[in-house]
Amino acid sequence: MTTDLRPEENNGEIPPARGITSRVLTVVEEVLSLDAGTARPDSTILGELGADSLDMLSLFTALQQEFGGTVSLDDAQGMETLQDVVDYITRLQAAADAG
Amino acid sequence: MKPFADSGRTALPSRLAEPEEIPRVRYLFASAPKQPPPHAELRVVTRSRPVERIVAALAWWNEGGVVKFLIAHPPGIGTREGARELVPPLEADPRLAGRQLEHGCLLAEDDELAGYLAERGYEARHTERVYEAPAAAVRERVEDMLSRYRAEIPCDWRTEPIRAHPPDVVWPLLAPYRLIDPDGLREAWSASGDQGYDPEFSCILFERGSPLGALLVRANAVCLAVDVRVVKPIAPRLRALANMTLFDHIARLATPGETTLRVLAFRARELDHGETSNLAKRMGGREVAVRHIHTRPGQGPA
Repeated sequence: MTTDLRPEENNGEIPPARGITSRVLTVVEEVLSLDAGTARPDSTILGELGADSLDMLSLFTALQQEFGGTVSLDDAQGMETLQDVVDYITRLQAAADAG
Repeated sequence: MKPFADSGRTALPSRLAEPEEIPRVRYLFASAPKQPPPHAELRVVTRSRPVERIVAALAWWNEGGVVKFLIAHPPGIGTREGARELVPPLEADPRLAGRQLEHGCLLAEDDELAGYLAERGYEARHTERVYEAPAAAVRERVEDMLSRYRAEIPCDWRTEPIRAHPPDVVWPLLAPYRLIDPDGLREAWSASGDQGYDPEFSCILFERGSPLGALLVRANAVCLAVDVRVVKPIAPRLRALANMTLFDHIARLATPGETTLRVLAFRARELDHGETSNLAKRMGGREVAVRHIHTRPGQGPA
């Protein structure tokens, strides 16, 4: 996913179209007050990022604002890593594009 | 085995407690985090001089296929001394051959008894971590979340203090998680002071008439210790709202300016309570203790 490069992974240049991964990681870092670059696709949400249920509520509210109204915390059952979140949003967006 | 010394006064090897000694033995366990059940076998070590007195006691009982035991002693007696007289005979008891032995409550890593049991081959299992968070930080976070999400809390939810309810109401919520056994729950529910659950701060979240979650806390003047926080398995969004509602119950009672509460303490099992650890840490908590249950696998023929 070349369009998913984050600024620091792309010689400091912001890619023309920010990919879903990059946007998810940025939202996560903002909501969980993490240092930039801390969140990675393979980061586990409860384990490595230390999120609790209240964080998850805030996180999915922020993701809903970023990606649109179909994002719901109730779909988060079984999501372990941020890649799971990215895949979920990718599926939602693909479905929306197809619809 | 050499009995332990007491400034030249002789200790006697451990023996079964005599019927008339049982109230005194039970009294020794009164301040323990867990009380031996009524059917526990009680063993004692006594000293004969200057007056005969019990210097250490051990209670053991069967629980779920495991032999559990606790040790108690009066102030001024070293834990290790009493354990040295009581634990080896328990291990050698032919009735317990092949059985798993387990200390009946959590011991901190630096506890003298934990060190003694480790030397005898007991393994630290069921690790539990304890965190403390400033009450003001918890309040701030709960209020911030409520300001954003209060409207989403279902209107048929309400919290009620445990004062008006029997422990059976929350047992179905707790049972699957093995946080506490039924006797321990009943004991903590009815005990007074900081030995029991605070009847006002501890609460049950109801959805109409049905219990959805519970927050059971012990309180002293400055600290609320969250012993049990449980929410029925429900959708993640509702789960978050339920947690928020449970903590709101405390926030409403402990208003700034009126409360002396300064700290909330959380306990969390290492393996299966990651969410509680995270909750404590995200509320500004720091880890203050690690405690373990010490277990020795069955040895010898069963």
